[in-house]
Amino acid sequence: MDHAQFTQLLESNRDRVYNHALYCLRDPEDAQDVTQDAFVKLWRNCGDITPGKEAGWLMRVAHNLCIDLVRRRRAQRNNFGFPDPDALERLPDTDGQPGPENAIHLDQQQQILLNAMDTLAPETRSVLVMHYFQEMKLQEIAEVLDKTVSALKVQIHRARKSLRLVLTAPREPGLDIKRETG
Amino acid sequence: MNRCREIEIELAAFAGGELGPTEREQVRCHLNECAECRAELAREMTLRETLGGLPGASSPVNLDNRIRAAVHAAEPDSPSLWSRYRLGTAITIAAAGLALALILPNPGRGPAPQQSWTDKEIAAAREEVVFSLALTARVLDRTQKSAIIEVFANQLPNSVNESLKLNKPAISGGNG
Repeated sequence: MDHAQFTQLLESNRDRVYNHALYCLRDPEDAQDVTQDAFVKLWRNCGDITPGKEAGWLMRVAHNLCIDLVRRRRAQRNNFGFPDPDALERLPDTDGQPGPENAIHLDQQQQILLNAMDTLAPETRSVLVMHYFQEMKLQEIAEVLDKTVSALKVQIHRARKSLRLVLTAPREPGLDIKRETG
Repeated sequence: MNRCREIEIELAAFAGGELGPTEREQVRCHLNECAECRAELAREMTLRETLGGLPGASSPVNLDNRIRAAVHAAEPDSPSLWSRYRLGTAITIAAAGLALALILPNPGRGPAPQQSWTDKEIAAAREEVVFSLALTARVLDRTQKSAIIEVFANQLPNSVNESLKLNKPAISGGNG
């Protein structure tokens, strides 16, 4: 891969990778870090990537980088593997308020849903962003993530159930909401 | 109940138009009979519309430069860096050669052409060029210094030689 090809890939995929990271991580600085790391990995591994598959390869790398970052952040809070009380607490407090994606305007429903998605496993959140926001077909996601379409259908089904639980749950102290782990 | 779960699992593909005709018809028939699965389809549609309607953000304007810098930093032997290095060395050697041709006597070239400069002006110009060369040498990396020494051998004035031989790291750029 020469610099012209790299530049072309950068220009055609930069915003897509950045937006994916932004909605997975909800932090513009983290999203920039992930985007940068993804393209550095692309440059380093360009010899191993099948020509024409670079966009999918970038999405898989961005997906993995986002997951790693979310896990690190959760581990830092000593909260890995347990429900994230902060995500639930944020629900009523940030209704209609600008989110961490401060450069863009979200309506109230989008804000509430993104907050609820914080309770999902990072893999699942990333899959939802790919399917619904990036409008990637299940078959396409399956190829990118090396999963089966059936596994993705189950993962999305479980995520929908978990979101419903979170969004309809009464907000009381000690509320036990099981984290979706798919 | 198991049938409902099977159908619910297919709802994302159903709503996204990713089912084949047979599967699609099976889901449609079940939905006609099952209010609970119709409610689940409504939730699927809400999820689809809400996330699908998220605004796309433009990446920050400096992100491109940041990525390019990171790529260069990650790959010090990348072709562009090598090209830039070679170009820098070539320019430096050419500049040094030009300066030397102007300021150094060359017995093989015969007598110097007549000119109207005074000895004092020539001495001042020579001093200025030598000073510039010495200053340039301070910012060259070691490899570039070696290249200049190799090309010009003993033709360099002492002040330039001293600067080139200084074993100090480059002030900016280069690999030394």
